[in-house]
Amino acid sequence: MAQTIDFYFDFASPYGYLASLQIDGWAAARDCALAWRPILLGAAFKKVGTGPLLGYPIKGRYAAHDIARSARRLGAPCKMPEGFPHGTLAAARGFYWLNDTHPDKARLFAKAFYHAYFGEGRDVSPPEETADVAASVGIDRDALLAAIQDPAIKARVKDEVEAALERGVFGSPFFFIGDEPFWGMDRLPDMAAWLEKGGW
Amino acid sequence: MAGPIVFYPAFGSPYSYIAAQLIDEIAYRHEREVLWRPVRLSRVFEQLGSAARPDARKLAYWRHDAERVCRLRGLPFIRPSGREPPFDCDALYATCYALADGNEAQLRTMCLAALSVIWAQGKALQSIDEVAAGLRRFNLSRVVVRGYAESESGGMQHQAAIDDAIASGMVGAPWFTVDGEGFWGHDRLPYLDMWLSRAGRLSAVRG
Repeated sequence: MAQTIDFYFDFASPYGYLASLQIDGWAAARDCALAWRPILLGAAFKKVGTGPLLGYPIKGRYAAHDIARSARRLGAPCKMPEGFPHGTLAAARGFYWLNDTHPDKARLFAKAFYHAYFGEGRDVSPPEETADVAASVGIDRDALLAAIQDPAIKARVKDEVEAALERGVFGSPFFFIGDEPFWGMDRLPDMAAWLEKGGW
Repeated sequence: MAGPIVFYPAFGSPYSYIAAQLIDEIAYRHEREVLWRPVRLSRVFEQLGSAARPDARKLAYWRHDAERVCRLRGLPFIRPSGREPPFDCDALYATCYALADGNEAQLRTMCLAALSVIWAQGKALQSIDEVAAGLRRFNLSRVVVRGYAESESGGMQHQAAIDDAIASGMVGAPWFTVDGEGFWGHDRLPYLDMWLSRAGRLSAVRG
């Protein structure tokens, strides 16, 4: 493996969803390892005084249009959940709980969550619904519900978010190749060039 | 020839400088005309009633990114130093529109020149003096620039471009429209390219 790319995303980020559909194949084609790192952007938004893209009236309209257009290009289903955005704490906790022991399962769960949330437009953010999504890909429903109440997992997510902010993450998706930051799925071509040239 | 691509660069925007180097080639391949319509971003935001400048962290990232994109593409890039953005002024836009006087090729040339002076030479064009000096090759003098800046026609054409940009959905610079579809950012040029190809239009119909 050439190197590990950090992939930061918020489970409530539509561009994070669109990136998640491409990133595994993209990285595999370049012989790179990927570290999926869900975060909660609420804290980052507070820190930099911004908000979710879709919350801005004019920019939000454009973003909604661009998200749908981007999904069509990828041939991916895309439907905004009613009442979007929701806090996705349960999903983030569930992910890190799985990731320590079964990173493959964690990724499978993340994809299933994203598919339900943005592919089907279902609000699966509450713990019970998040657990249903987990169960749909063979993860023990009750174990997940217990894990997301575990103080150690709670602290773990908090630490991950803190560390991401510390590193300079302020949006989703956000990538690091080594120390080089890239924000947005539209930077994938530049990231490919960065890998190919070893930076410039 | 099908309808034109309308390209709205903002002279104070480094990504507009980047897009300005890329748009002609795409338009040429798809046999589309490009209408250059420079618009001052601060005026657009004023009219939209949208927020002030983004926070320092995002700005720092954008600076880093714009420079990185230029290095990748082999474009010269020198950011004006010792000045506060925006690096443009209303007089610059009025001068471009008034001097071009409806001549599309001339307007394009002036846009490319203004963007290069600011972003390839690192010279801010924030006053009538600076516009006259920076665009000297167009035989401009202080008096002439002042005349353009105060003339109605230049300012009105700029305002008309701002109105058109906003009506077509402009949210940031650079902004492009073609066949009623809007695109924001140099990083959406691949989309514009696809949109103009058969596949892009088909998927739009399906969508």
